[in-house]
Amino acid sequence: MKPRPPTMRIKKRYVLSAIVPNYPSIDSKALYLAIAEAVTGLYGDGAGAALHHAVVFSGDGYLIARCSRGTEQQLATALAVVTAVDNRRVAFRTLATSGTIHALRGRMRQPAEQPEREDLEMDDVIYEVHAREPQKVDLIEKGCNSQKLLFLVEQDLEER
Amino acid sequence: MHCTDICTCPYPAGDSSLTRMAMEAGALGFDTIVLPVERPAVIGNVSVLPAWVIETRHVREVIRDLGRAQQDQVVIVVAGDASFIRGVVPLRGVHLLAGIEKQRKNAFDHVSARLAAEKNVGVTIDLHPLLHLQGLQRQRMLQRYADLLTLHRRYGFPFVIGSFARSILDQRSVREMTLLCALFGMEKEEVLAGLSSLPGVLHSLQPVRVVE
Repeated sequence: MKPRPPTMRIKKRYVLSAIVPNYPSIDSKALYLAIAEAVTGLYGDGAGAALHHAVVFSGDGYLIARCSRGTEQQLATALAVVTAVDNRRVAFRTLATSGTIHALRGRMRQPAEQPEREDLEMDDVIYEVHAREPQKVDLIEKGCNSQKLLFLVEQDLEER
Repeated sequence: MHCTDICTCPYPAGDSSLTRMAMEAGALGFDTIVLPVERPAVIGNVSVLPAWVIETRHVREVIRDLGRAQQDQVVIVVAGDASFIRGVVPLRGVHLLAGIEKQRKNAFDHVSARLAAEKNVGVTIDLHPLLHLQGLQRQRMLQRYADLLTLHRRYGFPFVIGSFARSILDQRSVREMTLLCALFGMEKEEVLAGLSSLPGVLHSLQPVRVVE
């Protein structure tokens, strides 16, 4: 099949967001469904369809979402109102918008090599310790259907 | 540009420590956050202002609690019905009026708006419900904010926008707040003014007096 000529294609924009907290496994489909729900909730089916949104990459604590050109602000607004993905509390921090995925990949900061940290027990709850950025420590309750999260800094852990 | 965010519930009441919330606010473009803590602090590049939240239905209890507030605290009174708001706004020491969107539509009318403008009392725009409500409830909230925006444009009382975050997951950047406020028709300049209006509310300019 002959591909559509470039002038006939829909012009696209890509939005880079950081995912907080950085869950070890988060499904692209679940991300797409959460964003779709937010888009539909804010703008309805008609405007939602005009966005042509999709998730083109997720991993390393980042998400790249696609939309048609001119609707990137609507997509960024929808990303700002997402509070849960797959029943797990989450926030998207929109970092940049670009016309190419390549440019956005350059904006992703590679996580610094952190030594594996032991699980931590606080108030009779066992947490996995995730330290992606210096000083910041995210504690995610261990378990298959856990929800409890704690966001602390190294100093808070030392004071305990 | 000085931007201030209003947050609630640091750890252990919430899930994020005070230091973490301040660090996150700094990363999101704020240089000051207001939190219900006891003392002011500076964490990194972010100043933490202590808040004193008064939530009651009676004006006389507000007067009693205002006497307990310290000099450097931001006094936030949670709004009640129309008579409560008209009784509270003229009180000396009240800085912000919060939760107007949760009251009946006529609770904050043109009389209260004019009074708030005269007394330089800020009205808060709480972005937390926009994130956590859906459907009809969110539509009603947007209608209330649009209504308040109309009064603000007419009477010019200070607007103070805040995320009222209980967790770092509820905190939003200046750019995201601009996008969220655009949902009820607020212009970018108005949002930036709303994020930087708290110092003007706390240190209201007095008329010049000639001292001989």
